[in-house]
Amino acid sequence: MKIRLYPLILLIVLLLVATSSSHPKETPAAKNRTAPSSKQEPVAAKTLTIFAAASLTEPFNELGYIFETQYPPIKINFSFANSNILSQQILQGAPADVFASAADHFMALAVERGRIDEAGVQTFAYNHLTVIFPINNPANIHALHDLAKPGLKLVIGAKDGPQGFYIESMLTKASKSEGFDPWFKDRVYQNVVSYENSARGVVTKVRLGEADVGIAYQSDASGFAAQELGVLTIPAELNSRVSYTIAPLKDNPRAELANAFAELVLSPAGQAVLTKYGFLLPNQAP
Amino acid sequence: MPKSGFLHPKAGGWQILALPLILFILLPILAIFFELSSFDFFASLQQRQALEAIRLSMVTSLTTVAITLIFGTPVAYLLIFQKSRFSHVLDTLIDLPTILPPAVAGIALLIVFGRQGLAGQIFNVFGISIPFTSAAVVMAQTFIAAPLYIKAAAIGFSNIEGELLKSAALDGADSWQMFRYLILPISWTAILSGSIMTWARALGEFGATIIFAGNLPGRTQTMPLAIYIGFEVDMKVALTLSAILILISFLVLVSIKFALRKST
Repeated sequence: MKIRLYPLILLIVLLLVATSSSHPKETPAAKNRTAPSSKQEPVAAKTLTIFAAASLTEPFNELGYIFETQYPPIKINFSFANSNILSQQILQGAPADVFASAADHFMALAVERGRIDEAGVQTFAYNHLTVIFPINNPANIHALHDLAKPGLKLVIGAKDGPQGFYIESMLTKASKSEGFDPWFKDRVYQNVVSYENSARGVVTKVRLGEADVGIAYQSDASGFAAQELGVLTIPAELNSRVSYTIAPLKDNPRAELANAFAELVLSPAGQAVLTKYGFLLPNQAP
Repeated sequence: MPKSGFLHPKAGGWQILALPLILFILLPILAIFFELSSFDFFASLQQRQALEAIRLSMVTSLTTVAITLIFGTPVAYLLIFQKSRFSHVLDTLIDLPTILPPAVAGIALLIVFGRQGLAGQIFNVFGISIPFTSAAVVMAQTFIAAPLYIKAAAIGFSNIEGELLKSAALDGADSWQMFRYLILPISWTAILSGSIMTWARALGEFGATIIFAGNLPGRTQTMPLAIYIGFEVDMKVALTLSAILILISFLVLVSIKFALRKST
């Protein structure tokens, strides 16, 4: 009995597969939908792929929306991640049209390896490090010195990531300057309870109140997170300036559109969006 | 049905059809060892980050197994020997953590045991804070991995016939003697293989750990976390730790197969 059932089941399955795969192709509606795009360019030409630093997530999503309304039917496909990961992916031939990097170093790497033309690289925003703490400030953070308080729970970005580099530089400067003891940097690192994978992870852990204090980018501490966070500005002479650069990739069939996106970011409208999310602009940087 | 042909159960056609998936699974695993041969495995093994991750992974995962044995065995006991109408519900709930995405487990643990969490606030009164500690790593691992032991032990206990327990009771055995001389000898392979599975799963735990315990070398950075963070920084350490985890997983599977064959 069982053996006789198998051909029957097979037949049913085959029928189902046959009907489901053939049906949509033959319906006129589906034909109409696919026809115009196949006559013009391949579908891929209608998507602009933008690799952008994770800290740019909010402003770029907004700019992407503006761009899509300006250039229909173009769709923008964002890939947000740490800049070191993005530059690695670009070096390995990832199909990006535009690269927006959070640190000069990673853009320089892509230029050096021939994926980006140096002439096309433009600085479009700056960011600073800032100290953040939960709004009720459980550890009484009032000055940069307080980061060295024993027993503090501090979270920062991964030591070898882009943010870790800026934090190291800031703490080194502080340890050498007046008013700080020379062991300041070491004492701060001793307070670290977690190296988060991204600056975003730092903001989350501080917002949840799991950590007493964190070091984030100024842009991360603005916007919707601002109501749940206390912010301590790091003195300008100690702070590191994080510059953001954008460039289209070389040998790109969509170069014109890629340039158009970079232009939008640098336009007054684009700069206004960046300001809204706490970024500093090239013309107002210290 | 025809007795020969391309798709006859014994025909070579199946070997060809099976090849793509077999290669797909084997190639990446072999590739890790191939990559490893291009540099000094033992040199990157001696890096501080690698050593600390291995030590922490071993300590936390073995602690997880010990805790699971102590607190999981009663649960398995309950599931089998004290069946009630809640048994089915309990049985399903126990399985839940093994199916859940580990990130969900991490957030759930944070909501309960985090500093602002329901239980966490009570701990806080006594000056105990769980997130960012090795204890948090053990809790994440136990949450995810303990069900594997409980289910295995329960299956082992279910093989013991009720008649046997009754006659033992008639002969005047007390409950400890029943456990020690009857239940344990009969179900030890299930207990052993369950413990090994829990250990292996605890070693591989990543998602719940990075959310609930954070990432600090020597305290909460277990091998999977070191691999994840490490591959952005030092691919060699990531590859070395990956190879160790593959070897351990392989040995675990072999030893479970061996234990199960011995018991039947």
